[in-house]
Amino acid sequence: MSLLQSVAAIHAKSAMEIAQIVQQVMGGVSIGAIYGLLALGFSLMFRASNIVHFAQGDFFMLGSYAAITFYLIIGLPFWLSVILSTACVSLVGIGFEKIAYKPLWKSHHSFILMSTAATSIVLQNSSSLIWGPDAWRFPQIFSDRILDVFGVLIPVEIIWVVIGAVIIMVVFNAFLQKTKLGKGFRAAAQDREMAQGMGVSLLLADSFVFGISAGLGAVGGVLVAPILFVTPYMGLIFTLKGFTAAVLGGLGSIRGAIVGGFLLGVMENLSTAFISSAYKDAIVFALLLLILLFKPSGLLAKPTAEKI
Amino acid sequence: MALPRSVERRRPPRAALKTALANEIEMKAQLEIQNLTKRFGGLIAVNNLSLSIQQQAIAGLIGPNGAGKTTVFNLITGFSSADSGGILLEGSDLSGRSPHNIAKAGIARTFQNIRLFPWMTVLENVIVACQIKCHGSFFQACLRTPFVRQEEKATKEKAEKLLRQFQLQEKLNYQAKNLSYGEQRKLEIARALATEPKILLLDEPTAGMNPAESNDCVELIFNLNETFGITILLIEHNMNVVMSISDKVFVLDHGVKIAEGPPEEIQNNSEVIKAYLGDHYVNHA
Repeated sequence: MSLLQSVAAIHAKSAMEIAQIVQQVMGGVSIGAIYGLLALGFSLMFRASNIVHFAQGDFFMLGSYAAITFYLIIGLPFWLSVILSTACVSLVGIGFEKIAYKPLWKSHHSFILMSTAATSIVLQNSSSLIWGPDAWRFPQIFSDRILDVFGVLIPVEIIWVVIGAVIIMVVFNAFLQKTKLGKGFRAAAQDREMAQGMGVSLLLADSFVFGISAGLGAVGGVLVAPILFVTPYMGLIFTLKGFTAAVLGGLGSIRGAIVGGFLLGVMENLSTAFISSAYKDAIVFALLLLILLFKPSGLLAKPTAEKI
Repeated sequence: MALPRSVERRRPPRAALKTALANEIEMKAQLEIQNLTKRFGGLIAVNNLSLSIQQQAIAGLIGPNGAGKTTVFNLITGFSSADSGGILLEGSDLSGRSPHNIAKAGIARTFQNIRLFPWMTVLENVIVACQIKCHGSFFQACLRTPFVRQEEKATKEKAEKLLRQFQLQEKLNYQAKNLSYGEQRKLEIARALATEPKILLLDEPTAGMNPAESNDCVELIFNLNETFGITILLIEHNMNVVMSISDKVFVLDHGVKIAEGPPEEIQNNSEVIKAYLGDHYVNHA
C-alpha cells in the first residue's frame, strides 16, 4: 500500500516536472523565434556577401523604436506600424549599404566588417539622440489567451510567432531556389563578377540582401518590444545571440538559422529554470565556444554547406 | 622559331563562302574599339588601342604575358572602366555602362580560370544565364502569374536543350564543382551562350587541355561561329589553335597593338617575333 502510494507520488512529481520542462520549452520557443529572425538576417548576409553584419542587433533595436514611434507616438494601428517599421528599417539598411559598404566592396572583407561595427555605433548613438537614453515601454499587443493542452499551458502568442517564423523561412527558401531574382542573387553570392556577366544587377542584389536582413531584424524588434524595455543599447546582446543562433544552425543555412534560433531559446530557458538565470548568458556563450571548436559548420549544415 | 608556319587551315578561307550579301554584312564592324587607354597607376596597361571586328568573324588576340589582353576583355565587358577611348557595339557606345547591361546588350565572356557558380547545379548555372532574356518583374514573380510560370518553363527547356547540345544532359543535377575539368569548361561556354550573345569573348579557352580536348574545343568554336553566327574574340596562347582558327589576329605588346592581319601575315611579322622571342631571333626566323 505504502509502496503504491510512493510510486504514485513519484509519478505525480515527475509529471509536474515534465509539465514544467514543457512550459520552459514553450517560453524558449517564443524567444527562440526572435533569435531565429536575427539569425536569418545573419545567414542571408553571410551567404550573399560573406559578411558578418555586426549591426544586426541594432537594426533590431531600431525596429523597436520605429514601432514605438508609429504606434505610441503617432498612433497608427499596430499592423500598419509593423509594416512601416519594417519598411523604414529596411531602407536604413539599404542606405548604409550604399553609403558605407559599397565603396569597400573591392577591398578585403575585414574592412566591411569594421564598417558594420561602425554602423552599430552610429545607430546606437543616433537612437540615443532621437529617442533619448532612457528606456521606453511598449504596451501589451498580443492577447494573453492561453491554451491548455494536456496540462501544458501554451500562450496563443507563441503559436503565432512560431507559425510566422516557419512561414518566413519557407517563403525565403522558395524565393531563393525558384524565382529568377532568387537564382540571380545566389549566383551573385558565389561570384559577383561572373553574375554581372550573366546580367544580374548587383545594385539590386545588394539592396535586396541588406534591405531584407535589416527588415528581418526589425520584425524581431517589433515583436520583442512589448516584452522588453527598449533602450538604445539593447542591440548588442541580440547581435551576439542572433549570431550564436546562426552559428548553431550552420552559418549561411536558412533552415539552420530558424532551427538554431529555436534551439538557442529553449536551451537558454531551460538553463534559467534548472541552473541559474544569472549564468544564462554565460552558458549560451560557452555553448557558442564549444560549437565553434567542435562543429564549426553548425549542427544542421552538411559538411560543405551550400552558399546561398 | 616558335610560331608554327605551316598550320593547315581547318576550313576554306571565309571569303570563298561568302555571297555578295554576306560580304556586305562583313564590311560592317560589329565591335569597334577606338583609342582605348587604361592606366593602373604608372603602368599603361592598354595604350591607345584601336581595333575593329567584323560580324561573324573569329578574331584572335595574342601577345606575351602582361601585354594587356585580359585588361582589354575587362574593358569591353565593363568590369573595369577605360581612362579614355570608346567601345562601340554595332554603333552604340558601351562606355560607362555597367557589366550587367553590357551582358544584356549581347557581349558574353568566359574567364581564364573557370568561374562557374560552384554550389549551383549544372542546370541552374545555365538557367541563371538564360534569365537575361526574361521579362517577368519582381511582383509578377511573387504572384506567380501565368506569364512568369510560362517563362520559367520555357527557360528551363531552353537550358536543357543547350546542355544536350554540349552532351551534359546526364549531369543536369550535379553541382557544378563536381564536374570534370573538361566538362566545366564546356559548361562555362554553354552558360555564356545561354545569354544569347552577339559577341563571345573567350579568355584562353584551351588552357590546361590536352591536344585532343583542345581539338574538340576548336571544333566547338567553329561550330558556334558557323551555326549560331556568333562573333568570337579569343585570347589564346596555343599558337596552333590561334592560327588555325582566326580570320584575323591582333597582337598586343605592353598595351600597344604591334600588328594585325590574317594569321599567315602575323606569323612572318618581324615585330611580333621580336615581341615574343627578342631581337636576335628576327633575322634567323
